[in-house]
Amino acid sequence: MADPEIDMVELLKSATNLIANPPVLFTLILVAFFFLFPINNWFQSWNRRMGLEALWTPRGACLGAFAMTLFLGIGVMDANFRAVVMKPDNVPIVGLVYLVPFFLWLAMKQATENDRRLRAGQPPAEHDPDDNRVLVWPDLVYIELIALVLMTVFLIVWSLAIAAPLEGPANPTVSPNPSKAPWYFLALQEMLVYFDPWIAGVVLPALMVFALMAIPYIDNNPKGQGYYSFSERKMAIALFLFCWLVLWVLLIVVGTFLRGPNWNFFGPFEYWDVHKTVALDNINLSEYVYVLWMGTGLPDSVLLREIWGILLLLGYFLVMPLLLARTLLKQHLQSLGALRYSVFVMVTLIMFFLPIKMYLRWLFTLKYIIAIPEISFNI
Amino acid sequence: MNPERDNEQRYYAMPKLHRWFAVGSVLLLLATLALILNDHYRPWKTYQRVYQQRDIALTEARLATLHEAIDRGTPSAGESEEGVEDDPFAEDSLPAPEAESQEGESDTPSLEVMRREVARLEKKLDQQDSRRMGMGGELLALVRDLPIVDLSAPTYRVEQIVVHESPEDLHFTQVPRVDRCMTCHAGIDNADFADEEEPYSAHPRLYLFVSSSSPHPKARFGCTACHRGQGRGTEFYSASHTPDSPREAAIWAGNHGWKENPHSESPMIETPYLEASCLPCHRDQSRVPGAEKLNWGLALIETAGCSGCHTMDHLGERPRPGPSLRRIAAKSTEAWVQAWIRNPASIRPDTWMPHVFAETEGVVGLGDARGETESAAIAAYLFGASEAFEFLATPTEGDSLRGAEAFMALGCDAGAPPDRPR
Repeated sequence: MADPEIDMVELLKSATNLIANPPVLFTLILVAFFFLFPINNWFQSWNRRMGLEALWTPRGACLGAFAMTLFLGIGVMDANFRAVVMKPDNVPIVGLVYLVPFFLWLAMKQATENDRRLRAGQPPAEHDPDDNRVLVWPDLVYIELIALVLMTVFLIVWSLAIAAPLEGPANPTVSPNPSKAPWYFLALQEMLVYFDPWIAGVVLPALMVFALMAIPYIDNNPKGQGYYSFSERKMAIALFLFCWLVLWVLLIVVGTFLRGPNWNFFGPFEYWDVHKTVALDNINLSEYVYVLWMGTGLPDSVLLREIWGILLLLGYFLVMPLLLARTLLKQHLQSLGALRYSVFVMVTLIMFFLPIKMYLRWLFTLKYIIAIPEISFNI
Repeated sequence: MNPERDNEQRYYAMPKLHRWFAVGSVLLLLATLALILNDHYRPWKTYQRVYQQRDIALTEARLATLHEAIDRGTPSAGESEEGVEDDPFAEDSLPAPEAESQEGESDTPSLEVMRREVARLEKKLDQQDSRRMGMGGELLALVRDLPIVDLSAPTYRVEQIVVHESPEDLHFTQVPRVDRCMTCHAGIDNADFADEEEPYSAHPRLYLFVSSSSPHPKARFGCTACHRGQGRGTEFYSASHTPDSPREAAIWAGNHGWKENPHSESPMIETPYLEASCLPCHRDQSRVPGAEKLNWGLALIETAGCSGCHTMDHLGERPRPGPSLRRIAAKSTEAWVQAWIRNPASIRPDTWMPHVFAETEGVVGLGDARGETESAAIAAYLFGASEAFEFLATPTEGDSLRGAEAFMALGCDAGAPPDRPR
């Protein structure tokens, strides 16, 4: 019948579509993430045992770039994949998919090399016993100028090669489907799937800015200043990278390549079918409790109706900090002090609330934990 | 900065950075040149250049024949046409039918007319042909079309007409129509270019369209008001040309990189349907002169009685094409009416009556039954509702004397005498 090789390719495409399914993709990444970027000593020992540090070598980079390019090369032979990836609007995101890992690799390579030196009792590579200073001119400014010139060349060539994706005259009666935000907002748009607009669009973005501003005040670890090092600030780097790579960059990539008409999920080799139907069967926690488990129907009192969700959230935000202070984050409470610790743990808990909510949605079709539409208050 | 420090000692090797900088600068120069050339090269410039050359060549040829005729003192028959044609229609040349009428009147234009014509053509060439402008003029012609310099007064430029009378509709707002078609179709109003190929050729019906003496001068109507397409486009693709056939589409794709523009909301109308564009303005006319296909279609719609069911503004209060059925019982039988409704063509093959109930077979899986039942039901209704026809009472007996009087008065005897049967 068919060529077995072609069948293999089709099989791989189906497997990729399956893996790209958000619960699967997210779980895989979540499991792998803290082994790649060990958040504590336990993870670090496993990281060493599995030899994952080999990723941060030139060979690891070549292998990674080769694997990505191979995937892209095979992928563009598929019409559905090509239509999404080669769209002029999406070309920069393909660039982002290469650039972000490259700079990550560059930093991690220097960090792991320094970690090795530090373990052997040597100073980090950046250490300069003679206090030789590097001059701004010409050492810094010159390479900045060169980078500027080369970047300008690249942008000109790009603008000549790819025409601007212009369309017909604007028509207020026709909305594009899918309606996508600019690429840098796609992570926020992805959050809107799981949260009420006032949380995903107002509270969470404001908190992100707040948390980024708070970092220098929370992080009082003097190590790793002026040189790259991972093992000296495991938790700080791992948490930051989790936010940056998984909760921001990954969501942008997902929003660009995997969100199709009606904001439905489509595998990279799936046809963007406008008529794909997805059951909208999400229900609230109160409905779970009163309708499904107790079989009594929702009570009239709003407070009584939502008490379970309120208790759950209070438990998460009040009990978890105390629990963590006695277990995982014991040392941090001591080194940070009560105020810094509370800010840090609150920001982290809110941050993890996003993936938790995503899983609740995927696994239990949970719409809102607290749903008071009477005052537009939904969490 | 440490004063003792050796200024020559750097973090990076300077020669290496210099090399990078040199390579980068050369690349930037090349990229910038590519940018300028890419922006400067436009297909329409080539079309305009070719048009200019052909126009100059045509004018020179005509000048030569005129000079020859003046030298001889009398023009030959062939040249007389040319000389006369151009005189009265100095700018836009001939409206075709009128040109024919003039041919007979003036066989020999006077020398004076020919000299004036020569002066006009010479003047035209002086303005057009850079070779006539001397060294300085030729240099200027070269310089004025250089990149960047060409923003002041270039020879080749985008030509456009702004039409306010028939604006473009952009969803809840209207903007003036801007037509740049003549940027490539430079000879569209030049009658001398009637036989040239596209895009240089003149409009095939200059006496009706485009020329300033026609009823539809381009300055008032533009091009896209009738032809549609994107008047602002100055390239083959962006103008939204529409091929007449798949074969033409394939040729265009090869020659001009044509592809269908999915974003164009009004692509050009295919030539066979072009006369449809007359209707929006000429809708109150029963007949649009020159648009024979449109007239035929309008007449067809009227004859077929399409407006009986479909609303058509321009046919609003016209009488229905079918006969009145108010007293149908008086002139027909129910069985015949049912058979007629069922399948009119089986009774009269050239009828205009639509075959509404003849082709139900297989449509809903009921076989013939549906058409049969429905036509019978309609016939039953018609006969049930039919009014009786009251015939006028006929006189019981005739008066032969008055009959003969009427027979003669009406002239019946002019054809055949009453005694001889026809």
